[in-house]
Amino acid sequence: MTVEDQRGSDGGKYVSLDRFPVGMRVLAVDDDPICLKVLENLLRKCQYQVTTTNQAVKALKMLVENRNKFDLVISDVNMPDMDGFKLLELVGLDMELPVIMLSAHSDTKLVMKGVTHGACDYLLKPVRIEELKNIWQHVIRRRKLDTKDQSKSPNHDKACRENGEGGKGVAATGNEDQNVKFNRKRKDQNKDEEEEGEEKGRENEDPSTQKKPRVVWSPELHKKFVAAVHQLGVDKAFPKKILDLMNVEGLTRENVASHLQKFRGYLKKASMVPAIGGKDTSYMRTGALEGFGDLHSLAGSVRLANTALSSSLTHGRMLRRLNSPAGLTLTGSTSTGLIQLSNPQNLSNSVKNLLQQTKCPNHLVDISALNNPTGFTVSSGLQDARAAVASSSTAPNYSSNTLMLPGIAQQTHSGGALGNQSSVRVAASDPKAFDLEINDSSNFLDHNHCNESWQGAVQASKFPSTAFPMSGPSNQGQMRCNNLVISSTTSQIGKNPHNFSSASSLPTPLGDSRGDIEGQDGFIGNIVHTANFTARQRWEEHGKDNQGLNQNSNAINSFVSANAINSLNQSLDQNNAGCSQSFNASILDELNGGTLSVFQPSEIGESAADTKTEPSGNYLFEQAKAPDALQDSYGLIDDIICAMMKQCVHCVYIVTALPCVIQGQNETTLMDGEFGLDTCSLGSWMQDFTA
Amino acid sequence: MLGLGADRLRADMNRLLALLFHQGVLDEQFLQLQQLQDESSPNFVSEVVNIYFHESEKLLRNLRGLLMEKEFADYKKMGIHLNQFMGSSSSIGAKRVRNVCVAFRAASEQTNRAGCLRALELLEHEYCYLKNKLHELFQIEQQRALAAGVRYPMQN
Repeated sequence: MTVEDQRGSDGGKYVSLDRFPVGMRVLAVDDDPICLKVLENLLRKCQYQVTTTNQAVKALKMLVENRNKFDLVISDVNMPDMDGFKLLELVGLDMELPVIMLSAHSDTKLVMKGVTHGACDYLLKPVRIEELKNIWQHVIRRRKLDTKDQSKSPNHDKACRENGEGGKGVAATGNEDQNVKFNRKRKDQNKDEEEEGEEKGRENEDPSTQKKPRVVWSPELHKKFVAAVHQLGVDKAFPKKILDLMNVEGLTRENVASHLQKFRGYLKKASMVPAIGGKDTSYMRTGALEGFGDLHSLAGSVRLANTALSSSLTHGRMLRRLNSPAGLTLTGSTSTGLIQLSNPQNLSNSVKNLLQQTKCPNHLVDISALNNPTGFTVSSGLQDARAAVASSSTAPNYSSNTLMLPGIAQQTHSGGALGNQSSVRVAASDPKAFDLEINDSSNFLDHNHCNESWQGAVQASKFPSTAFPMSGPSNQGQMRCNNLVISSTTSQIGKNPHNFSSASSLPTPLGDSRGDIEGQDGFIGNIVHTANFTARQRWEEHGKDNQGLNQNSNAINSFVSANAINSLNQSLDQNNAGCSQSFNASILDELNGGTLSVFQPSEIGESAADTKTEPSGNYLFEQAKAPDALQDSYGLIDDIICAMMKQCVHCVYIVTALPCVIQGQNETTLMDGEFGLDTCSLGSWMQDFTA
Repeated sequence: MLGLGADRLRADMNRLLALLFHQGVLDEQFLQLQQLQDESSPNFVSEVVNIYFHESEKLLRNLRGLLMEKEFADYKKMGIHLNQFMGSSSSIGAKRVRNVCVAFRAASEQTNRAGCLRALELLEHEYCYLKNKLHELFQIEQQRALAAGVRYPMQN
């Protein structure tokens, strides 16, 4: 380990700006001595101050000792004594130092993982000096981010707590720089937990004069919590009682209280849904969503779902026009998602049942026939509740559109297995499916199509976000947005692949992503894929056009009619504010970009190019193959969006619903067999559609 | 005469380098290494390459040891070794070696033992070739330095 002497830069935290980036202090960590030596010399050549170590543990020690001693950390991914990602997390999150990952492996999975864990950048070996010459930008960016974060995160947190409020704030977030967003998201999410933990710690400090470890609400813990709440009854659920019921060692009343506070919001919403006899069930479901990792996300999703349902249900307009497709969709989606999670077969069946209950036409059945993979795991928790709700609340008359929705929902949900695993798969999937200019969006589709349980989330808002990051990996460019998304999401999810929350958080980053179309595509791809839409095809066609579209939302935008999008965006914004989950934000961001045009007729592609950040509603409209149908669809979409936009979850549904709507309008070719197509047929379907 | 020798040696060296580049044994990264060599680190390239040899041989031994096991199943460990080998090879510009590593890794991911064995053999072959050529290069370099070094005092 060599320590470089100070080369005349100030000893303060920041290198004197007039000489920056000269003298920037870099800590390089790599167990491979050759790479380390080469890296060291390259960095010196760039006139940075370099400190090297071949052990991650030593590096960490150095950083802990004095975080201000370094401006930037470059670390290898595969190290024997500590996982590079772990170091990344610790340094990037706790110390807020920009960390650049280094690896010989360009596997999308890894890159994605890097992004989600908070890496500023991911470099491949061999590192070239040109790349190193620019790494100082991460320092500047991070500094800016930190300042913004401090001023905004409290607001963000608050906004999250209040549903539907502060949408603007969230929306604004969406417009932020990708990194900022991503970082903020991650930070916020972490801060949520951290704050809780810290608060608890602080509270506990007084009595015990000892800092208690942060309480992480694991699925099991949350399950207990939910069970306790359920047992007591929502109205009578007091922290003390819950704590007693849970009987968890080390858990304090304060922990439970703050968790309950978060939970209550969702509970309230859920209780608003009349038909949701399964209120309890849904809660139980939430609890049961163990597999989903981050409970926050889950809770968020549950809440979202609940809210969505209630919104949809109570939204007369929606009901009127779409026979509460939204509600149905939601329900369907959730059900499907949920069902899918556990068992694709079940999902199909459940969807079928659901549909049949609601007197859905055969379309639904077709949908069920879709070989949606496990789909959404997240939804699974909600599924029972949802299903119950859906069947009871949704109007019997489903337009074909509506029907499609569930199917779509199903599809989207199939993407469920958002987990890193699936997402990575998606990204890694062969671009063939997508075959777009957009880099690996096809992967997404393909992926969904594939074995992964993740069907790709047609439910753009929900799902795509997750899917999005996934697809990103395949494309470095894409990765950015995707990564961002994932990062935000994963922070919540932790390592759970099926973490719904990740999905939710995903959207936000996506929106913010620099507008890599590719990232967008991936995202969109998921959405499309999930829906088993030939969106894939669409994308291909629109690939180029989509490039024009800035954000992922663009992809989605093309999908949704302008009106829908606008309303969607607005609602999303509001929803985002309301949703504590980054998911809202992500969706919002996505929507901000435009419409959720997951489903785009080939024409859309062209217009997509024109509309950069404009809600693609308009352009979507133009694109729509069946203008008339689209018109109507848009109206419906609008309604749907309005109704649905209360919750981020809605977005998902809307997105899913949109294709249905559009399809429904177009009927004929679209519907026939198209909808019922499994992913394989997506391509052909697209061809039909675009023919 | 010594001066001529130095020039000739330099020409030899360049010729050898050109050949290696042409064969794909080395790539631009090696040039970057050479550029990093300056007054502050005059023997940078040879230092790095020597470390590389040392590490690579260790890795190759490990890999062969793993694959020779009767009950070999630890592809993950092999992957780790491979990863490091790939990283270091690409860092010094050993293109062909790195490419074989890529193929090796693919076989490993598919848990294709036969494929791994083949790749390992190819890897060892490529590595040997690279090592020989680099040794040759360094020898010429040393001689050139000697020749050039001897010249300076005479110029006084």
